[in-house]
Amino acid sequence: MELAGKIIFWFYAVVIVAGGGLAVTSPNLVRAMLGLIATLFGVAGMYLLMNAPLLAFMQLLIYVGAVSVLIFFAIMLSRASATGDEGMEPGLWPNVRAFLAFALPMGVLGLTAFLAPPAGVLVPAEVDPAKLGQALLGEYTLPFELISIVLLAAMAGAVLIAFEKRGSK
Amino acid sequence: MSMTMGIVVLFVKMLAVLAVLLGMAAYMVLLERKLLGWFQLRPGPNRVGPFGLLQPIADGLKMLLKEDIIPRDAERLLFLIAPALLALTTLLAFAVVPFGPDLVIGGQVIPQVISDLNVGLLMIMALSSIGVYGVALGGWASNSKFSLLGAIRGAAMMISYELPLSLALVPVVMLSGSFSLTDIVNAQQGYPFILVQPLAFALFFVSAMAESKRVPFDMPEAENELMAGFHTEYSGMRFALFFVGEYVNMVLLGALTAVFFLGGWHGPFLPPIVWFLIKIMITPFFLIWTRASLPRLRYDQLMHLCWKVLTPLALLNIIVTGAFMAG
Amino acid sequence: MVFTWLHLAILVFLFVGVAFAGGPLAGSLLLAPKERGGDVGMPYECGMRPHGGAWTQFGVNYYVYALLFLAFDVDVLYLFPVAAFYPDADGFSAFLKIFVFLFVLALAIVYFWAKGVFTWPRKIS
Repeated sequence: MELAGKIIFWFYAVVIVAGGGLAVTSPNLVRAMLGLIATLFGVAGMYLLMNAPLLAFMQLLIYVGAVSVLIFFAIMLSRASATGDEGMEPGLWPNVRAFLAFALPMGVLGLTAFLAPPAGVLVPAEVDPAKLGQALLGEYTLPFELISIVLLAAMAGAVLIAFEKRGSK
Repeated sequence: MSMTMGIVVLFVKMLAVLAVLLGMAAYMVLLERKLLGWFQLRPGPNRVGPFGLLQPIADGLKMLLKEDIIPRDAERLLFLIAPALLALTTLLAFAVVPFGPDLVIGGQVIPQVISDLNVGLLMIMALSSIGVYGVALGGWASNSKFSLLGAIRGAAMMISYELPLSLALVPVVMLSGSFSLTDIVNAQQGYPFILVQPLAFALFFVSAMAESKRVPFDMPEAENELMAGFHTEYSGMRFALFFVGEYVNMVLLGALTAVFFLGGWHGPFLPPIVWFLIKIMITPFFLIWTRASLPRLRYDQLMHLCWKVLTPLALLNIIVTGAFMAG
Repeated sequence: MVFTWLHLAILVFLFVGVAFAGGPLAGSLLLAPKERGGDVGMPYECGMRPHGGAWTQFGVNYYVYALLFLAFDVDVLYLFPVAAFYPDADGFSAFLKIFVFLFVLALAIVYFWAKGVFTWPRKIS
């Protein structure tokens, strides 16, 4: 099973990188979204390997099931065909900016992981969902209540912006 | 359990589930046509084999021999994989559905579920929201106006019914204290949850009807306005895959209703698996019945129903359940 | 790294499912007739020749619903683990905490309802 785990790890790694590559290089926005979804699936698989099925399916539920649908509607708001503005070849300067935006966090995270590697766990323990609930009702009550308030504020803000647009026309 | 033994058991279970499932889905088509026929006072299909029992095989062969047309302007890759995506997500959900209590064969305990995931309920919900990509991408990739309208409607419906669907399951989790479908069924040893959670059952059932994309919620494929909606441009085997997906989804919703509210395999006299299969058939029967008797809603009506009626009711239901359990 | 039986089962089921979906497609590739040329590949519009492509812009209304769905979905996900622990929780205080959480959610629905978000506009701009 140890070997199988390693093979699966590399399989997911390839899926993640390939999906990410498709997402940033595809001139077609819907295809780019598909690449993003493949990446999210790969990450969910990694969570499963780390014995965190709850996190894996939350990832699928939230990111694939909700965020990507939001992106789908956002693409429908735009001119999604490859002939639109999005399909044009960017100049040198946008490419440099994009590379910086990629390299900076990547460098910081990579260096941190390389210089100060956290103590690894060979066989991570699986956390029962009910235990998570216990923490949310006990130690982390305030964050738990704040989640709904923060999300309410976020929704209200987003809807107000979208509505202003609708009302003005 | 040894490694090879485990793999053999896994494959046997998987093939058994797939065979039962596809058989049920195929005969669901026949059942639907027969029932619709009887509802409308006509005999239904009765030419192929006795009582039309060979009709599904004839349908399958016909689909296999039909041309698989790809529209000129379609986005080929997405167009090709979308139907498989829809069928796959519904099939995959059956990996966590328990068909009966643990079997003991030769001293080995073999659970009658492919994998008893302790977050099974979350997996079901994740798959149910991912299933919308088959509709949305298939419709979008066709590059046809009818298909695109169907795709948008499908995605818009999903973001409406998914919320009451998951909120209706919160009381079930509260009562059973687990996400595992096996534990949920075991928690209903004494009485099925439909008796204590009738409102949650109703909410779940209406949302499930919306998820099945059938009358009265069949806006993504509304044939009078959109020809066939998101699968207008599909033909041959790919069209058949969309249909397999739809009918497997009906079976899946039947199985989920049975697991969450009807007590799963529990029941007197008959063996557990028989009880479970009987309970699975209840929901599809009602889905077919509604098709024969209800008109179609507009999709903004569905969205209003979900956001203004079902979701507040579901929230209220959770509060009431919580109060009862605390009190 | 842990590779569990559950994980294996899910993966194997996935591949069996792919084979199941791909098998008939391969079969139809071999057996089905193929026509090329003419108007076979024309998008279907009840016999009319289609005007322009289908990929156009859609209204912002769907986007608003998707945003609300996203936020509520996150809320629901936090509710699930709490619900799983609820039978073992200490009755009243746990109820109160869940009540506050759900009250804010209900408030959100009431607010957006009053704001007119759930009213589909007659003309989508």
